[in-house]
Amino acid sequence: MTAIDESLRRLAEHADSEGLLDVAYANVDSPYGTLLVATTPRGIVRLSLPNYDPEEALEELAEKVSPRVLEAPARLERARRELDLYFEGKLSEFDLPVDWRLTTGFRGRVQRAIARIPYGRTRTYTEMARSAGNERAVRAAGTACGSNPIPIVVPCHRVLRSGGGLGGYGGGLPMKEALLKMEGIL
Amino acid sequence: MSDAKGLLQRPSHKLFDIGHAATLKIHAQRPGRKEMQVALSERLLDHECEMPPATQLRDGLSERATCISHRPGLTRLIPRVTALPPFQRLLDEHATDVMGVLRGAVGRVDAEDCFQETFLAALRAYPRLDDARNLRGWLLTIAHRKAIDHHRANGRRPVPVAEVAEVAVEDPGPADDGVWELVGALPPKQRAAVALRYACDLPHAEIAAALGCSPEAARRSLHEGMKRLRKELT
Repeated sequence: MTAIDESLRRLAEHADSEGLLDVAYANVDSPYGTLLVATTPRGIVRLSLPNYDPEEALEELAEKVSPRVLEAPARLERARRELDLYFEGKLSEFDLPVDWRLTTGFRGRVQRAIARIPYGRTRTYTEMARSAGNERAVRAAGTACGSNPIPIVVPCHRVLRSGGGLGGYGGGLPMKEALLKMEGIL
Repeated sequence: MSDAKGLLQRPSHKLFDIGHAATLKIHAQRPGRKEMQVALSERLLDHECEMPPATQLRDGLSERATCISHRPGLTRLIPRVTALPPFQRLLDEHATDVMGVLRGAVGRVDAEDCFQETFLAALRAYPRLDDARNLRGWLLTIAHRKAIDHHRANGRRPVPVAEVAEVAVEDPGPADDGVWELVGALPPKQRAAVALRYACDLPHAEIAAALGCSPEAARRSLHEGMKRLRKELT
């Protein structure tokens, strides 16, 4: 670690203790590539998958949450540990506080319903539309899955088409398939 | 344009009822992009947003206009000249230079404290910053102020003592430390100018911006500083 890295680490600590660390993020390795995980003092607010430009994800956080965005891996230790265990197949339920502020309205309701789908189980887009209070808004439920700001932790990969088709996935279909296989669904 | 002018003469509390939602929507869809800011600025000219008159008239409508909403959480609808990047990017791009300037200005040991103070002050003020065009200059200005505060707080020359207390210091650093010691002994303005020029490679204009003086004055400080250094080195 160079001297400047050490100074930056200390800065993140000071910022945190002075309440200036509005968004802390870290890069987390996964079997699918590097994930970017971000948290606010309330909880995990964003997880961007390997095929999404991390710079873009950070810019969005700066715009929508706060420009005080700092790399602070120490603040994401717990999330990293749980993700590691999940990818090893040793964790079936995340115990992480979630900050829902990037989701609102119907999409927000769908995403909260997704968060309640248990490990190893699936739902259809229609079911998700129904649990969000509008059975006919299947397409909107699909969009809500696609715009999930915290995939994996909010397991939108467990939502499939009614006919059994995979549907879509922000991280690419191979990743969705692999996650479902890992959970023993496929 | 004439619409916007008319609006400015209305009492401010009446200004956001119309067209507001559309503006909000655009903002929510894809914030932070330059094109969108242009679109928003145009919208501001065409439509109904409040602009504090003083700001509005100072720098021209489209550049600095700030739109204030009564709705909580949406206090700034019309973005800055450019969107604020994630703070981490400022660290990635400028932290090394800021540290370089501070080492030149206050020495290696105290640079660390000034560095922390500089970036904490920057973080504190960052969300309210109006203009994101010269973030580097902004950071260097803060660093310069922190260095001056540091010198004021110390407020005295080193006192010779019989025995020097043992103090933990960082690694010895590069071979030109002798020169930087001499730089550290220059008067504050000259010291800052030399550090900004040679530790950070800043052009005169940016040195001037960081020191809050004219480019000529910056050039003069740099020249005086260099003259003195040359004299001491030969």
